[in-house]
Amino acid sequence: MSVQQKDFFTAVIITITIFLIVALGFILLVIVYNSRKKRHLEEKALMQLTFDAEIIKTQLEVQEQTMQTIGADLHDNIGQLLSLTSLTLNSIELDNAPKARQKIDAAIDLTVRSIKEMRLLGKLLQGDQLVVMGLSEAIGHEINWIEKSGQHKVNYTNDSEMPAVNSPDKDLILFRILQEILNNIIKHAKATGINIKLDYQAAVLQLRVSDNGVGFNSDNLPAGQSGMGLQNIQKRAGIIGGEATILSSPDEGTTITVFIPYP
Amino acid sequence: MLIFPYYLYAEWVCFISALLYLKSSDSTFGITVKLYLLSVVALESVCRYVYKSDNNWLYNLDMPIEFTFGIWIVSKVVFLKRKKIIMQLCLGLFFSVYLLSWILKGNNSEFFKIAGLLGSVIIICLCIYYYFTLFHKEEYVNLLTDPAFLFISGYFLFYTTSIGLVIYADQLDKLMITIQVPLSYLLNDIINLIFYGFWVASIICLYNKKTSLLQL
Repeated sequence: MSVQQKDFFTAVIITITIFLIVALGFILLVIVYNSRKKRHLEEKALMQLTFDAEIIKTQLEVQEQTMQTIGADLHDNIGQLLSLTSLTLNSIELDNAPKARQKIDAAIDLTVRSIKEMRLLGKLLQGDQLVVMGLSEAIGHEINWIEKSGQHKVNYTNDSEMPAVNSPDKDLILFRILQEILNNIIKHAKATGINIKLDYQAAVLQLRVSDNGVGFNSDNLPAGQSGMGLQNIQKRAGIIGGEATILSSPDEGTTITVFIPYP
Repeated sequence: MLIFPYYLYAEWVCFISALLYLKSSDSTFGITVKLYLLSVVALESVCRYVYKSDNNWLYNLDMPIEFTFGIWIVSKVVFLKRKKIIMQLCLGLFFSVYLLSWILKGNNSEFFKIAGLLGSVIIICLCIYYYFTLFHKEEYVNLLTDPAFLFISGYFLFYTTSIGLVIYADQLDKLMITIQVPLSYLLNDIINLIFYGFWVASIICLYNKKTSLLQL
């Protein structure tokens, strides 16, 4: 083999090897990309599972809370009304017709109030229907219950136009977040006023809840109670692709804002 | 005595695999693959043992079969939006250059290099397009056992590397690595072994896939 032939031989081998390496490299790239896609899809499926589990958990919690409300209401409200009705009817003296008339009227009034309360409870028993009828309406319903206690003055505003298509899963989670926030306020904040604002702009739904309570320093929460409720709020907001910000300082109340992409 | 007939072995192994594993398939795909592989082994065997030299005219005659099959089968595997038009365009382009070569040179001992190169480039482009469709595919497929991927990858490797062989075909035939064996034989063997290796794997994976689907 002459020198010229040897050079040509080397050139050919190098050229073909380069072509082969480029082609193999391309195929390898496709395989690597594909295996990453597999990982991504697995992660996505896992996230979906977590999301579904959280939705079920939230539904159960909402149901449980509803049942507690019903139990308390049956005992404290309707039970009392019916006891009072019974007492009133028992105390009727048929000899004294005018007084008996008054007592019968009072008993009728108490019975009507009992029926009204029963109807309200009937609505609550519908459970998930609370959110299905619309987030704003569900919030209004929740506020009704709080105001009944007479300890908090609640101001609720929702001036923005909600999207025509809603997302029941996100509504439920957001509603549950609101319940968590309100529970925290009732239990710990010693607040007298609560402001709730629902706002929808540029495909982002914002829920802002502020109170005039004692507030807290989030850095100095006692160990063991490091805001389980607050962590829950942030975790749940994260599950639906949103986030929650908590602003609080001692004696200056607390403001919690939740943003979620919507619908 | 010829030292490197390995590519011929690879072709026969692939043909036999197709006969064995595509047996249950009576689809156009299975029949066409078998017929094509039969034509390949027949051609290569004749060129190897009957027309040992000056056999380019035979390869020139086979070229339309090779690239028509190639373009047809790749377009069958690759998802193309305007499949019919693209196929017609590719075939039209190839046959124009092929006929032009035939008119200009006549089918004597000279290989239709330009037509061969163009056919290779068309198939390489279709293969690359196939890979891009994989990038956009939302669902996951295990590529290492996917018949389509193995089939296309075999084609892609073969035509990408054989471009060099086609370009230097004349010189490679004269360049001997031993007294009797030209360099082109060695390179042909390596490239064909890779190519038919992929195809055999593809056929077996297709068979396994069909068997597992039947078992379901």
